[in-house]
Order: sequence, then structure tokens, then C-alpha cells
Amino acid sequence: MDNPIAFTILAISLAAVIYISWWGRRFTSSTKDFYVAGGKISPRLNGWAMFGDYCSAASFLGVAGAIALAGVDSWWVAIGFFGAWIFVLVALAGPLKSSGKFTVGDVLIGRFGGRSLKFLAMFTTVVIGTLYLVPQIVGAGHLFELLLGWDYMVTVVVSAVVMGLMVILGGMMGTTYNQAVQGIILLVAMLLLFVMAAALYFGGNPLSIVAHAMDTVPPTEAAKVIGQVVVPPPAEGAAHGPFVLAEAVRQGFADLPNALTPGVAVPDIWNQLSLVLGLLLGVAGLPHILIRFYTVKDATDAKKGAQITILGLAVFYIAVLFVGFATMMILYDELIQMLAAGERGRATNMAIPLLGMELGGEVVLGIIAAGAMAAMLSTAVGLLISMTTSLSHDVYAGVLRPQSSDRERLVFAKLGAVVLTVIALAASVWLKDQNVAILVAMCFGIAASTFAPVLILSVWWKGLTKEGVITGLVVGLVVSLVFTFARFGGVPEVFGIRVLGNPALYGVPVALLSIVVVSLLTRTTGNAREFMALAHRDS
Amino acid sequence: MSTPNEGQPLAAADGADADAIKRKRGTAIKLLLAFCAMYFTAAMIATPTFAHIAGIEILGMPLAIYTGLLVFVVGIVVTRLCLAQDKGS
Repeated sequence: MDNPIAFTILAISLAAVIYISWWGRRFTSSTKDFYVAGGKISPRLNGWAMFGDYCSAASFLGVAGAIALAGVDSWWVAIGFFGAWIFVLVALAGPLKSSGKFTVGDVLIGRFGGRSLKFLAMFTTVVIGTLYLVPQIVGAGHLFELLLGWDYMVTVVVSAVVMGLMVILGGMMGTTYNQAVQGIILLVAMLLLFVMAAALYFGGNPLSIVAHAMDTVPPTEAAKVIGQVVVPPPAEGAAHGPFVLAEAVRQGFADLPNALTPGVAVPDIWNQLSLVLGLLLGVAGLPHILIRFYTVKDATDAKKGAQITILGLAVFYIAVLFVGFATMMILYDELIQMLAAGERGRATNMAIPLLGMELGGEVVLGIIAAGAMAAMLSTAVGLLISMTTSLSHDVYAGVLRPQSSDRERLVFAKLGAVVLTVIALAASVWLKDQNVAILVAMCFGIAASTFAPVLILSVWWKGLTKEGVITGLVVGLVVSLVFTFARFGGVPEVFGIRVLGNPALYGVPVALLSIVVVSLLTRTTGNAREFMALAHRDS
Repeated sequence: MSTPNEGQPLAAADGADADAIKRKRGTAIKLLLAFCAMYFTAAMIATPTFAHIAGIEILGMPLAIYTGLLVFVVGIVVTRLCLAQDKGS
């Protein structure tokens, strides 16, 4: 085993997670307990659980790693992740809680009814959830690979089994406590990196991190010229100080951009617009986040929980910027070596654990690994819960077997967790070398093109019709999936339209337009007046 | 088969009349517009097209960093306003 101390810390945290899931079993006697913990979660606990649920591998590993490689432009993923919550809080949290029960499909069914909507809502939930599960497994696989030196295939299987086990054991109550604890671990781990990096390498002054970043060529740019860089030998009897290679690159290539130069990693204005649009609307369509609003008593508690999440995210994502810059400078040589070896995905996803190793040896590596694992597990479990709830509640109980018992529905939900984990596992092998933050951002794009416009218009527009909802969901899903897979497949254009890094710029307007046009042409507005009154009642 | 919010009579929901919904919608739109204006302005400045603006240095840091940080500040202000409005109603 490569890192026994780090592995021991990680194993202890994993054991604690599985114990909490097992402990949560005693609170899971019905499907309502399994799906939404009986709606008995306090706003504060829910706020931390949402923070843990939301801060996935992308937030903890991907964004800081991307900043470390390419500079400040990559911070926009973090800003988008934050901005999405403002949108959800203002536009959706309250009405969603007031008008739904277990799943986002409930909101649509509550207004329009009908089996077709249930199927469509379930299908969209499963597509988004499965794609979102992939980066969590990829991140976990790389992490175990780094820690234990195991083969990637073995590590992804172990990670997926743990994820599935947590859901099958615990249900929503165990998941909530796990997510809340993991959220706190995540925040502490990121702040620990920030404080240690500033103290050990930058004289305890965080602004010194920024000052150094302004003198550093991002590794992605430096790797292009590294063969021409001359590193001066150290003075006799002295060792090389920190940042030697970074300083040599800067001295040799004064014209290259620095880590704070905007526009380096952003290809153009359209890619940036698509990314930030997808991120802003994405959470409003992510079932594993939205389901958390059903775990509290009422709309006011839903918003109070969201406020705690938003404050936590602001602190976390600002720290990520500093940690990303510090990682760039401290691991400059290693990052360039990985880039030169063609291991960009590994460099991005594993930069933060490597920083932990550099700053505090195996102990800090273990804490960071526990934080990273917490990020992946809490998100993965949230995803599995929301998907299995939709499968069991919307389809099995709602359409296939309405007369089924609570126990049968629970068994169906747990079987669903196994099947979905296996599918995500297969996709994780295919997408092994992708940056987890980019994978997650693409899921945001799909969610923004499907559930987000449909849900927002459902709770705010009386003129919305059932046909409009179905058309919008289908069109948004097809357009966003086509452009997502075109991007993965390296296809530059689809029907003469350029493929962007995120599908939202095409998916969102097309979905919105089709919803509005079809709604204006049809009349099935459902029980609009009563539904609106329910959704917007004062709690 | 259970339906959403079963046991709660929809028509008699203790609730919001058309005016209240209109008022809530107006407030939500204003808050979102304020946030989106900041968010998209900051995002667009950070593109190659406007890199010359984003790169303007203020107190040793480029403008893009300040606008990025400002998104967090505006977001928190909007959050507080949204919850304050709830308390008011």
C-alpha cells in the first residue's frame, strides 16, 4: 500500500459514513421516510446537507485543480455553481416545497396529472442523475488509485459499491446526516488547505498568493514552452527554493499570460455564455438538490436551509480561488510533468490531494482524501436517492403497480439503486480521462435545458399547458443530449451548428421557445388557479 | 396512489390570491434581474473579447477578480432581501 496513514484516515471516515447509514435505518420504516425522511429535517441540518450534497467532486477537486492548471478563468465554474443557488432560492425553493411531495415530477403531476408526465419526469431524472453520478465515480476512482496504487478499474468498482450500499442501507435520514457531516468536512478541509498553504509558502498572507499568481505563467501555457526553459542552478551548497521553475518560465517568456489574466482558458464569448447560463439554471433542474426541499416542514424552512447553503458556498468557493492559485505555484513542476505526459485529467482531478500531501504529508493527504471522498459520496448518494425515489414513486407506485405495498416499493427503489450504479460504473470507465468539473457542468447544461424551464414556468405562469411541458422536456433533453455527446465524441458541428463546451446555450432557448409556443397554441393549463394558490401560499 | 399534498384541499388552500402572486412574482423578477445583471456582466468581462477591460488593475488585482467577488456579495444581499421579504409577508 502506497500511503498507509492516509488510507487509515480515509478508511475511518468511510466506516463512519457506513455506520451513519446503518444507524439511519431505524428511521426508515416507510417509503416517505426513505424518500424524504418524513419531512422532519430541521432547516439548519438541511442547509448543511444541501451544502454536502451540492459540493461534489467537481467543487472540491475539479474547480481548484482547473484553476491550478489554467488560472482565474476556471473560477467561473465555481461562481456559476454559487449563482445557481440564488436563482433556486428566489424562483423555486418556496413554491416547489409548497406544491410537491417527494419528487420534482410531483409538481408537474400536481398541476397537470397524467401518466405520460410521470414517465417523462422519471426518465429525465434518471438521465441527469446517471450522468451526474459518473464524475463522482471517476473522481473516487482516481483518488483511490492515487492513495493505494490500485488499478483504476478496481477502484471505480469499489467506489460504486460503497455508494450503492449507502443508499440501500440508510434512506434519506441516514443520507441527510451523512451529507451534513460530509459538508462540514469539505468546508474544513478546503479552509485547512487555504490556511496551511498561506502559512507555509506565502508568509501567512493570503494576498501574497494573489501577488505570486500575477507573476506565474499557468502550467497549461508553460507546458507549451517548457523545453526551452532554462532553470538556473542553485547557489553552491544551497537547495532549490520554491517556485524556481515558475520564476524561470516567467523570466524566459515575459509575454506569456499570468494566472490572473482573464480570457486565457475561455475559448470565446459563446462558450462562456453557454457555461454560465447552464450553471445558473442548472440547479433549478437537478433532482437530487430539489428533493432536499421536501425533507423540511414548509417553504420558509426550505428557504432558511438554502440561505445556510448559500453562505457556506460563498466561503467555500472564494477559498477555492486561493487554494487553486497556491496549488499552481506549489505543485508547478509536477503539474507541468503531468501535462507533458498527456495526463491532463489526472492533473486536474488529483491536484488537491497532491497539495495535501505536499503541505502536511500523509496525515493531511488523508484528511483531504476524506474530504474528497465525502464530496463524492454525499453527492452520489443524493443522486441515487432522487433517482430511485422517482423510479419507485413516480413509475412503480404511480403507473406500474399503484396497489403495491410500501415494502414492495422500497424493494423496487433499492433494486433501482443497484441497476443505476452499474450503468454509471460503465460510463465511468468510458469517461475516465475527463475533468470532473466539466462533466458536472455539462449535467448542469442538460438540467438547465429540461427541468429548469419547465419547473419555473409551472409555478409562475398560469398559461403553461401540459403539451407545452411535454414538448419542452423532450426538445430540451434531445437538444442538450445531442450536443453533450457530440462534445464527448469530438464532433465539431451538428447540422452546421458549432458544438460548444456546454449544451445550455442551445438547449435552454430552444426548450423555452417550444414551451411558450406550444402553450400558446394549446389549452390544457391544468388546475392552474388552485395550483398557484397552493404553490405561493404563505407558510 | 397518493397525490401531491394529499389531504390538502387545493381550492381552499390557505392562500395566496392573484394579487399576492403578482406581488411575489414582481419581487422575484426584480431580485433575479439585479443578480443576473451582475452575474452576466462579470462573466462576459472575463472573455477574450473584453479581456482588456477585465485586465484593468485596481490595487494590484485585475478587475475580473473584483467582479467575480462582487457576484458573491450581490448574491448574499439578494438572499437576505428574499428572506426579509418572506418575513414581511
